Amino acid sequence: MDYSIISRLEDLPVEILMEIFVYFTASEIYLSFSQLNNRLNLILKSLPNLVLIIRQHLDPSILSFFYSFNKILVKFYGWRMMRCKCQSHSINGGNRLYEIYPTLNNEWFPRYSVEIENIIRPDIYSRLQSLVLPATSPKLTQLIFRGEFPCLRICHLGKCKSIIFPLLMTIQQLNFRQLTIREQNGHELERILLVCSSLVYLDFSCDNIIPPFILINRYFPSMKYLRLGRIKNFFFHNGQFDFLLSLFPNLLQFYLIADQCRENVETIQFLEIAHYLRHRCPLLKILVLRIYMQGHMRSSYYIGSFKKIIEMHSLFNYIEKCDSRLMISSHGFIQHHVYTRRYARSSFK
Amino acid sequence: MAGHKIKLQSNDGDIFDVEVEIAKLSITIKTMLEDLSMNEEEIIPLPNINSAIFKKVIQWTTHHKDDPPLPPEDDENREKNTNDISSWDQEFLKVDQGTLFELILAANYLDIKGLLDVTCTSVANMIKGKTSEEIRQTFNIKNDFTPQEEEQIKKENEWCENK
Repeated sequence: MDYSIISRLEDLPVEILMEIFVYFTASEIYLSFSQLNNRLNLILKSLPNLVLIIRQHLDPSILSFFYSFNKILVKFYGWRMMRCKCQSHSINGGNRLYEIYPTLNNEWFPRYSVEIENIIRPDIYSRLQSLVLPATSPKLTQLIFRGEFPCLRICHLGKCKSIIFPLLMTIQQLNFRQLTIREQNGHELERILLVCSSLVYLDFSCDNIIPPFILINRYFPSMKYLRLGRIKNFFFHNGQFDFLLSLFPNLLQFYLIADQCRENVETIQFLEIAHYLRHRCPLLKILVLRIYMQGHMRSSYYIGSFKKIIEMHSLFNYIEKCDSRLMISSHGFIQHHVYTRRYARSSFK
Repeated sequence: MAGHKIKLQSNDGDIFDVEVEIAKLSITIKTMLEDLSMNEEEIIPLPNINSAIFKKVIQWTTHHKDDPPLPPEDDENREKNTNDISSWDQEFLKVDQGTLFELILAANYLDIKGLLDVTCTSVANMIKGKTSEEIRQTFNIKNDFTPQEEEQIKKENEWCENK
């Protein structure tokens, strides 16, 4: 058997070169490797699994060189350095916090890019596995939810117009593992969960209410990371919160942004919220509750002592209030967040 | 079990007694031990690795045996960072290019993700910020383009070189 020793970069197998290319953006790969020699030039042109990472600007000439993207990641930098974070990092002793998009929705107004969407042509529909965009057009959103991308597993669409599901016809199951879809109608959450029943990560946001689910006794045990915002008229003590948690018994990370109902203001009992969380999500490691209070609940008197709230659940480590907004978090305050009162568990200070 | 050893044989015939805990940092070896139920007296051959490289691999895995597990592979969106090399690894990787490439191949064959990451990072660092001519010199790559081909590539590259 021949155990020849490799002493030149260009003799490394393509799978190893791919491992090295991960450290470069598409344009860096093109610039650094394409003009070295014929072998590397040909390898680049035939790469079977290329991640296209785009920062701000996309030059179409790169597409005439590469033909085979199956993962597209747009790293978007926008106003006030808000950007797609596209990463997860370790907090709380090794638990991973996924942050694909900026934390605060209301400071981020991306628009979809026709230029980028033009890359996603029918000839790559069948092989695209991963797609991360700051925003997505209605046309592309509909194509994705119609099942035109059979290999798509990681699908972060960012801001997009509401999906329009057909009312009666059977909807094709989608095998997404991760999904971000923002600016939706609250009533589509149930349909999204049913269509994408293997999700591990869901970031869903709407600007209205999430009505009671029609189908009950369904669970989504694969779901580990859930972010829901900004749900209007949310109730913590009429069964809505408890039911929501009951759908996801294996959650590790839960991020909820909710507005109380203005017309029917409930008095929030944090002890009860802590009980629901402990009972329904025993595996939970990362938690953020951002509640926009209404009526009497805006008063500090009704919220009570931060010190006492923190004692109610092991993940209530940081608590902060500013005007109507109350935030309880397991892992820290949001940087540069305006606040009028804040408190951290003594061991986290 | 701490201190329990297995025998691993490089392609030039040397046999190494390696602690199971350290050997199992290689997913390839871990799978062999678990799926094939190999017993401790059996010698596990490693046909793609010579003894000099395997010694380096053992040195690296011994130093990193208590590292926390790396993130799972489904983290598709991360962009790897070329600054992620510890000072120990930087010292460890002060080797000639042939050894570095052999280490990459060994890490890939043995499926030791941490070693593969750090060796590939090291190569990426040798490339970042260099012109094509400098990369050719660094890696002794022969330019086999015809003048016409070179001209054509330069023209194609103008758009990103001017940024």
